[in-house]
Amino acid sequence: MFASVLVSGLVLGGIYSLVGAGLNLIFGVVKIINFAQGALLMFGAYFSYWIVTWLGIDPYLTLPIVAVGMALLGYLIQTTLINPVLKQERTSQLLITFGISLLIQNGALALWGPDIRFVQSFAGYDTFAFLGIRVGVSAAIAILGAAIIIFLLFVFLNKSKMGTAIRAVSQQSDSALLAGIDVKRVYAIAFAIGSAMVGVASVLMIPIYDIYPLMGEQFGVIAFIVVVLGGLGNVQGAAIAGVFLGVTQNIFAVYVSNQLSVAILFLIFLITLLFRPQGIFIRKMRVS
Amino acid sequence: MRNKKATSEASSILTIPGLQSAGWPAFLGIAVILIGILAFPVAFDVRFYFVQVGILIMFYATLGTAWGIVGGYAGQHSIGQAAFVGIGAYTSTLLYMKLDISPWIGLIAGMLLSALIAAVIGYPLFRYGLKGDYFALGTVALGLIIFEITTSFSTITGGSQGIPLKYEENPLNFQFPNRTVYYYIIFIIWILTVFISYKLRRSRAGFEMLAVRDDEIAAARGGISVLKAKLTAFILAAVISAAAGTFFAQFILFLDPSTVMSLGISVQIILVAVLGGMNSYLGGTLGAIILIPVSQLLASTFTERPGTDIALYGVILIVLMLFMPNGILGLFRNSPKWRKIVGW
Repeated sequence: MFASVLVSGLVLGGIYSLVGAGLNLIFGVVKIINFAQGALLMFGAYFSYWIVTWLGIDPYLTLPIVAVGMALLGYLIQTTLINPVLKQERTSQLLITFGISLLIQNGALALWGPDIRFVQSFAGYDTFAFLGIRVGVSAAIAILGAAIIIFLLFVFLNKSKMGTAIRAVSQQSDSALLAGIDVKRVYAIAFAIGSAMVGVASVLMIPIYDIYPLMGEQFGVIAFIVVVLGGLGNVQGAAIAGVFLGVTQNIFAVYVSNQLSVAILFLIFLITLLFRPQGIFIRKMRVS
Repeated sequence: MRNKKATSEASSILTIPGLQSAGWPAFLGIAVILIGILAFPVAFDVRFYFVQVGILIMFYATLGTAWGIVGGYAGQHSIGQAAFVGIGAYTSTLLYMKLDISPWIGLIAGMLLSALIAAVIGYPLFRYGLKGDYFALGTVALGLIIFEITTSFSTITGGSQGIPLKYEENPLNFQFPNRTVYYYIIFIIWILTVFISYKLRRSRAGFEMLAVRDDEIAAARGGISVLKAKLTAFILAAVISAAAGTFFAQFILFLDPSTVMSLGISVQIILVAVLGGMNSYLGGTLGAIILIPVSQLLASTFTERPGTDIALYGVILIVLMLFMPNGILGLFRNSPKWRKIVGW
């Protein structure tokens, strides 16, 4: 019983990690609170759903298309909507991302209706035995996929030239500009990567979760908790925090109260904000 | 950039801004407008729908003005303001439904509870120096926690099903046979809020808030208690929002978490304030006059395709922020005379 709760907690945690790490990258680099992260997750899920419906391919095969499409969308959002307001008040940036979220979420509702949709992957409801536990194939794919993507992001940020530029901009954008880095382009790339991570998360989750216009709301909100818990701009911190929150939420939901399982996350959030606003992970772990 | 803004701000602070500088035409204008607002539901044979829109406008004008105190004056962008609307609404409603206590007393109770919660939450947030984004995130969390708790404890609060309020025609129960009375009640709440905001802008406490907003470190060096200034603004805005919340529950006679305290309501409040110009005591009112009819119109135009209206609303929000981030009254801030009148 506990083992299966743990597995579904890890799936949820993996999704939280991807969405949260993406949000944290945007937060750390562009320094804006992206309220549209949850709406982008929903959009990615519909994106994948329509490709599956039209081409009749397995949902997992849509991963590269969705990831690239979402990256382009993120790039466009940053260059057309966020870059012009970078110098303005925090509220206007924040309200713009909220406007994007309203537009995407309710646009989906208007276009595709409130019906709950789902896709069937090759894995279906198959399970396999792992250390004596029954694990769903799609659950295992989600957990592994999230881990691989987070690892790739880590390698990209630390080993590649662009990753170094991203880290430089997140630490000191003025100095980065002086060093010859095209800061606005880095912003756009960070936003694109953050959106692509959400795209990956949406493809990994749709064989398990239902697709409907409001599906992203909870994930978008919890991504904030992931960010604060992991430390602003700390991508690995966010990944660990995401897993921690997913597992905690699932355990709390099963053993204490299903209804209060989201409230407990907010409580953790508020306590963290008050006592360790720099996040629970030490600074040494910060990459960006 | 920052310094230039601070100096121009300082010169305007030395001269107390006010309506006097507009002279008698302004007072005449205000008198005419107020009489017009008061006469609107009775003098013309208007459909109750329009009275209702008027009530909504004044409701959001109240909330926008209150938000202007904490977000505009003190510069603390609270994104969980709807939580206080919800606290006000639920306190009075639960007292009324469960204990049969008059909502008038519930109104006061809700305001007190709201002040208490704002103080308990605001104190550590400000004390530990949560600034900018962190404060914004903290208030998002506050709003969502209160939303989730209200939804979860469904045995008491009715959860997401909501609670219908019992209807007993009795002015002592905040319920009137003639629904137009609500128009005048929200009028009083609104005009008081604008008056408080105006007086605050000209008071010492108000100047301290502006000083904290413009340069927190300099304000602290100048002997201003940063904590006190922020906390005062936060609590004041919370109390006013709670009063508006009680009113709203009594007006629609139904209460569920998403109509009074969702994140969307919080953003609507900010949008109203930002559109009008959040630094001015008139900003919330102007924002509500423009935005509420637009949102009502959008909602009634696209009834067969739900979602379209809010999607368009999102577009409006984006366009506004791109091209008019200081709001309408912000356009006046470069003229010294008008700046004093609108109290920027």
